[in-house]
Amino acid sequence: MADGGHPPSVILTRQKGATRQKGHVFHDANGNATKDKGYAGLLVAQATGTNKQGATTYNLTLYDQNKVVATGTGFSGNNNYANTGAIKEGNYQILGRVDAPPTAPNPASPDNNPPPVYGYQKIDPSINPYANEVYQAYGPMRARLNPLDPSGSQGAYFHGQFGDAFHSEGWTHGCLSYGRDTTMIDYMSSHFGTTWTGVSVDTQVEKPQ
Amino acid sequence: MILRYLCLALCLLGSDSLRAQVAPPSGAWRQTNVTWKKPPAELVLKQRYAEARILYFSPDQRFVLLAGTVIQGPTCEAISGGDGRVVYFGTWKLTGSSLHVEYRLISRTVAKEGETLPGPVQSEDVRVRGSTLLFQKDRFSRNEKLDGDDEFKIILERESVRQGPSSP
Repeated sequence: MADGGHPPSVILTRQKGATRQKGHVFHDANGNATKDKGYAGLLVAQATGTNKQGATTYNLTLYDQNKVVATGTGFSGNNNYANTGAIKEGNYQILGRVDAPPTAPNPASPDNNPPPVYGYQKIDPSINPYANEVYQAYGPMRARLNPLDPSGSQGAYFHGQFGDAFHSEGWTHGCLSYGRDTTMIDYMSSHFGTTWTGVSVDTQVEKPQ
Repeated sequence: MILRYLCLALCLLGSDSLRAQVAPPSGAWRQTNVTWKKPPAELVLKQRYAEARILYFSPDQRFVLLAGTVIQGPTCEAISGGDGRVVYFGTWKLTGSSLHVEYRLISRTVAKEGETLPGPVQSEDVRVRGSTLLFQKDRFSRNEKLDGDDEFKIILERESVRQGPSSP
């Protein structure tokens, strides 16, 4: 039973210890939020194996309330390098906020890095050459995966890979990549761009009874 | 009076020899002149972040200069795994009181138009001021929390495979 007394559509729990994800409250069967901070959307990533580049592969399932609205695949990390691990398993959330597209390096960075974002960010390569280079690294949209657990990955994004990003097509430095299929992140930003999106990386998800 | 001069001379000699002996650097040194920012309040994260440069001196005299986003929590500090970073790799050498580094650009998350990798070899002296390092225009202090950061392990491992440990 979720906080608020309504049966939840989906509950995220850890694989070990069955601790419910912090702040995770869903909408009830009538579409009414059980709590202001409820997640309308939930992205579930379940590890399936390793691709030829050495990245951990995932099946991705996107829920809108209790309905599956998209499925796909993703990848993270590179097992060929001992320390390039995939995104750490756990619970993450995406802040419902769409940040402005990158157009110039972070003024605080003399080294050409774009400013960090904490919600969704569309990346339009046609704006200028710098935006195009950011697009090569992150694809047309990225979303920050904010860890709910202290042991979660810090600074990871759910992003695409449309160029030879990091000279590492098919693997990442620890982010979760959707590759070239933007179906899910497009849906997420357009439907959950003003609310929280829960993200489960290899944690147990209890389906509605 | 003679004793006083002797003492003064010994003190000066002592300080000169102290200045001449610089301990070999080790581990991670983070830029201290940075601007910290806080994540959006809605996230209720007890952390702050900054764009910073980090110097890393490995025991086998390999050198890494990394520019990226550092995330600092109440008890930990880490290099953001997904934010942009720029990595230079090379070697360091300590001769007397002189700390010298040679390095070249090896990767950039967001490429610069027209730039080819690896970049040209650059050479620089790192000035040692007590417990502080001065590199180019930035000031660095020792940061043991970043010593074990995966980013450095990845860079060192990849470069060992790619170029051998002694090549810049």
